[in-house]
Amino acid sequence: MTHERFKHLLLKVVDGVASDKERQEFLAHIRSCEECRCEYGEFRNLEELMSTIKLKDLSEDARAAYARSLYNRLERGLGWIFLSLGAILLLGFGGFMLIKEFIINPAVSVILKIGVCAVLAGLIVLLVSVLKERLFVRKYDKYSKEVKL
Amino acid sequence: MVDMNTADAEAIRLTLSGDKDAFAVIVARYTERAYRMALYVLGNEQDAMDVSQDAFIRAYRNLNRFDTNRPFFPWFATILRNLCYNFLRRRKRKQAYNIEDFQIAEPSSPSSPSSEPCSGIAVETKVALNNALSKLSPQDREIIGKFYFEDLSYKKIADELGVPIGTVMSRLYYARKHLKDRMLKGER
Ligand SMILES: [Zn+2]
Repeated sequence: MTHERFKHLLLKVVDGVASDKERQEFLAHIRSCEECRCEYGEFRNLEELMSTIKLKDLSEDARAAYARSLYNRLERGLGWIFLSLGAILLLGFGGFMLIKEFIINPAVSVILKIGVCAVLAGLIVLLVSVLKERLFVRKYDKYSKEVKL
Repeated sequence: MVDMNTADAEAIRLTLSGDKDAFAVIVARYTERAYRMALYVLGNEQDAMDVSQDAFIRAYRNLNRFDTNRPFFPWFATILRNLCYNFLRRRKRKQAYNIEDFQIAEPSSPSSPSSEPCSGIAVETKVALNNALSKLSPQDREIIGKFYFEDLSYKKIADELGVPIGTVMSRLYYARKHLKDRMLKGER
């Protein structure tokens, strides 16, 4: 015998949201079903216990510490963004200068220049492709749903 | 409720226009709720602090994508919930909660021992409840938290979790059953 239906009824009766008809039906059922009767008793005990218990509120100190820590982390995040932007700019500029020196240097053979340029071009294409993939994935990640709400 | 949403929207508009302090209003208003939501899923205080802060940071960074015509908290709660479950997935040791961290206030009145003919909840103490809660699955604890500590109706929980009421009832049934069984066993 399945009790699935009576489990929902039990819940409604315990939580006081059952209709009179549902209540009658459930009470009639537990007269003949010991399993549901015991369970009903246990659920009611749990309700009694839970009604006497509440979570502690955060203390003023805890809230203040929370806010402080949050703003520190926000600030650090900004720091990282500036640092990365700066580093990318410097590296890009440095790299550009190096390559320029290399290309205009008449002592280096043309073959070597072409080889190095091809390797660099390959690296750039790969990098752009990876970045595109990352950005694409981000657009469709699990956060996109709540953002569109 | 409308006033609160209007106030939130105003604070968000100010934040977006560069007023850094405006976001503090939002944080102050929702710290407690965010922390508790995270606590239900994660089961310990430190992780709940960290992950709920992550959620505020994530919300702050994505604020320009938030539609100010809608209430802030549901949007934020989705971010927070995703972060909580991602965190658990990364942590993997899902059962390793520190029971001391699940804070429960002392009962306001001593609960009376039951006179039911069947088995009663023997150890009706804060410790036993703490212990039992700390051993529930995150999903069970989340719904228990919403139902008992946030006092939300089936309907509200269904809205927050984005599932039908019938599913909420089934989950609540099993979550309470698990909680009750843990308390009966009083296992360590
Ligand atoms: Zn039955």
